[in-house]
Amino acid sequence: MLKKINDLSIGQSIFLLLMVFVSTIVLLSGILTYRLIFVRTDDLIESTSKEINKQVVLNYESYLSNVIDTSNSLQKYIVDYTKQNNYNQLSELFTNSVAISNNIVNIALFNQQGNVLSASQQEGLISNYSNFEWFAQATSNPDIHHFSKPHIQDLTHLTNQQVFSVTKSVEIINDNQSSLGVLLIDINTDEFIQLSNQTNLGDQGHIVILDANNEYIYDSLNECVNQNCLSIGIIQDIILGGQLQTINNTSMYVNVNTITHTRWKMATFINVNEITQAKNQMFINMALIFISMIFILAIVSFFFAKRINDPMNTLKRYIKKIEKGDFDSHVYVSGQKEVVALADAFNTMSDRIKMLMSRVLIEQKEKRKTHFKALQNQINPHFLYNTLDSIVWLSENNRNADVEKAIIALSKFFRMSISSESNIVPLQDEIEHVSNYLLIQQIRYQNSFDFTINIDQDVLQHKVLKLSLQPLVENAIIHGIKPDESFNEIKISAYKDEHFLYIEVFNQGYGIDQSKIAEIMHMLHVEKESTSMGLKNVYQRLKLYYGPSADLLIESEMDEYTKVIMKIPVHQKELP
Amino acid sequence: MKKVIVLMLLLLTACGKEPIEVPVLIYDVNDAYMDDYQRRMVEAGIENAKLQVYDGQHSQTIQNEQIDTLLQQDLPLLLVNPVDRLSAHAIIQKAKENDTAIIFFNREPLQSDLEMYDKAYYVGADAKQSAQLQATLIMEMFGNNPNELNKFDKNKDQIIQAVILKGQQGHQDAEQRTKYVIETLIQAGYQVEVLETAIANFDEHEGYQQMSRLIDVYGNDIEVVISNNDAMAIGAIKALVEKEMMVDVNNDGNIDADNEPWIGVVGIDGLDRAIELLKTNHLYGTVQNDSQEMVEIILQLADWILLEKDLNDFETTIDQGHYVWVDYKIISIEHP
Repeated sequence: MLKKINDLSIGQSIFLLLMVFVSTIVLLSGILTYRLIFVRTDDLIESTSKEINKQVVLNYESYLSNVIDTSNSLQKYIVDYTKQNNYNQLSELFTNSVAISNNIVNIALFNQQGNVLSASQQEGLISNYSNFEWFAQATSNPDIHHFSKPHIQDLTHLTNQQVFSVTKSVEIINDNQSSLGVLLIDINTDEFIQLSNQTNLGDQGHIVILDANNEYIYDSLNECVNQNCLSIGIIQDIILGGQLQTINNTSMYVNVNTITHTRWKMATFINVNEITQAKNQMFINMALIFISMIFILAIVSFFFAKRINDPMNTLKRYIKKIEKGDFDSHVYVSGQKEVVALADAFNTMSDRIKMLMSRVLIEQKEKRKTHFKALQNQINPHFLYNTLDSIVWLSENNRNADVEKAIIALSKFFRMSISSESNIVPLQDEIEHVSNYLLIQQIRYQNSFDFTINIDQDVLQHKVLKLSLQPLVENAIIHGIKPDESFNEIKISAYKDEHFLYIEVFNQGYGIDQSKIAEIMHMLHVEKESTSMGLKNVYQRLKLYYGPSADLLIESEMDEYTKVIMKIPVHQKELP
Repeated sequence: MKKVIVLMLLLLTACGKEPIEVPVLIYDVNDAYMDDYQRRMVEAGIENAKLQVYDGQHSQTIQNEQIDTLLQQDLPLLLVNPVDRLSAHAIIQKAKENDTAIIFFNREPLQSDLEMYDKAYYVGADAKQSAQLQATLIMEMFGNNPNELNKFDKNKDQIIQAVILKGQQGHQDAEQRTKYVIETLIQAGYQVEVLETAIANFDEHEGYQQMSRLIDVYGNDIEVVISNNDAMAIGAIKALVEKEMMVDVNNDGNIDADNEPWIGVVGIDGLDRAIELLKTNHLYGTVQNDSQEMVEIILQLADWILLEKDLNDFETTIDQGHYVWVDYKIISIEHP
């Protein structure tokens, strides 16, 4: 893994670094925001639902406590009136109470045996009520008010009003004897239902009321009448408190609470689907934002990395080319200015290398050519035959000393031509080489020319191009010797001034006119094969080796002389 | 690194040894009596436990919410003074579900509710007993002989003419005290005529107003004032003094029942101000509910539950497995 990371290119590293860094920040801030908002939302759902539940409970409690208050205040009158045996007046009180209350349907008082003592209704009563469930309930625990399940009122046969029966054991006084009776207050269920409709619990939101034994009392959707519905099961699980539940794919916040004085449990099912969905929607939105941010980031960092990486890659390819020896192509990059500067420097460098390389190459080529030419010249069979013929002729004339001299010169000449120790040699050696040549040619041309060598002592050790003098001397012999004139002179001299070393090859002869000189000079400059290969080779090698200041000069006077001067800079450092 | 882990573990175990929280849920700390009660509880405390008081703000819904939250913390015990004693059935069911023991105090749940769960207890005073002791006080006042009442039977008819100042109609204590004080007297052979039962909601000022009215209606027919609590009794005494039914003729600060105008007033609770009035003989007597003793018994029971001791050996009898009764005491001149 680490190795893989180390192997990455600059662009990849930048890309990776940017991606990791920024996406970590984005991810962290995303998680943080999500958590903050979500915890808030959950808290909000919980607290809002609880508040709604409390409000609903409060509504029912105040509604029911009205009934209890009525019952409590009636109890006092019951004691008073029963003591006076004034049951009719009690009935009247009950009737009036029903009349002023908008939710009480019946009020009745029974003795312990279940017989009616007083009632708000006088018609349709039956003789005994002890078998009724609400009656039995009231006597089971005399301390508290009992709330029955909703049922059709059964005090009389006159109406089919749906009621809750609230019963309580009360003190009645009969013949100064205190005993317990039962007070019945029937309240209609209409207002109960209205109360549940007052609160907006959302779609499918509903209220369920169960008694202490988890038996059905009421539900606002009328779903649970048969005691088996989902809601009742949930309430039995929760018992008390709040929970988020999913019912029929709908998020509901369920709160179970008690209703004071009643032993009833009331559950509100509040639809929080919208909030939950909004929450989910927000989650999706955040995820989308996150993904698109990462995507945009990826694109941006890709291009950023590319901007740095591409010039580098171009440069790399270019360097690879150079490695393979291609100096011709130039690199052109745009982008970071550092990289551009680097590319420019590379171009300059490659140009320079290319120049140097080609210089070396040409020089090598020229040298090889000269070398070859020299060899060719020297191995020229005519040169050798002629020389050998001359030696034979000398031998036949018993000029043994001359034979010896000629053979020694020939041998020295060849040795030096063949040796390939170095490109440059001391002037002394080169002079020796041409002297041998001249000696041989003297013998061959039967002393038709004479030569003198005049070299300044201080230039003897000066380095010169090997085999550079011989072609000039060869020229001087070929062009300088008139067959009719038995005697001619060739002079070789070398001297230097402050800047240059001059080597002169002088020959008497016809001379060359100025136009011819110009023609020769032109020929030297132009890359064109010509007969005068020797001179041209020397000229080119001079230029290659010493640079532009080195030169070949031709000086001539018609019918007098021709002088070729090799001009070599003294101080210039040798080119590599 | 290892050291850090060890340190953290030590810290964790140290945290684990923090005393267990025992919540005390008070129905309303604005009720002076319950505030006092709560303070006594926290002061006494339980070893290795921290009592944390929660105020129900006189709302069962708020208390339900507190209970729901607390039960989610898997606490071993709750001390609950319920706002609505009938709501206890849901609280008990919920506690049973969580296997959390629960001690109710000051407001008694229905027996059927307590019987649902063997770890539900009620520590309290029996309202019936307070009424019986109040009746004893009245008997003493009239000479302890049902057949021959003393001079405080002003009209000499051998019947006690009484007015009752009753607490909230429907309130369990009010109902029980009112019922049993008369029942006890009758059972002991006394004849009692209740001139009127006036509702004064346990309140001093209402007690004063009701008593003023009763004096106007019944005047000297009243032989004894039976009050469901001391606060209403104090209000009644104020009315009696104002209407000159009770006069300190010789201005010695005390009332001489034998020689100065006086009507017997009996209360229940043993408030400090009632004790003051007792000393000056304005109040004949009261029945004290010793809240200090009650607090101690609650905390002792809590401690036993936390330590999982066998409650069969508990110092005070646990009646029917659920009830711990703390006795009332009579306080009067004769029983200081």
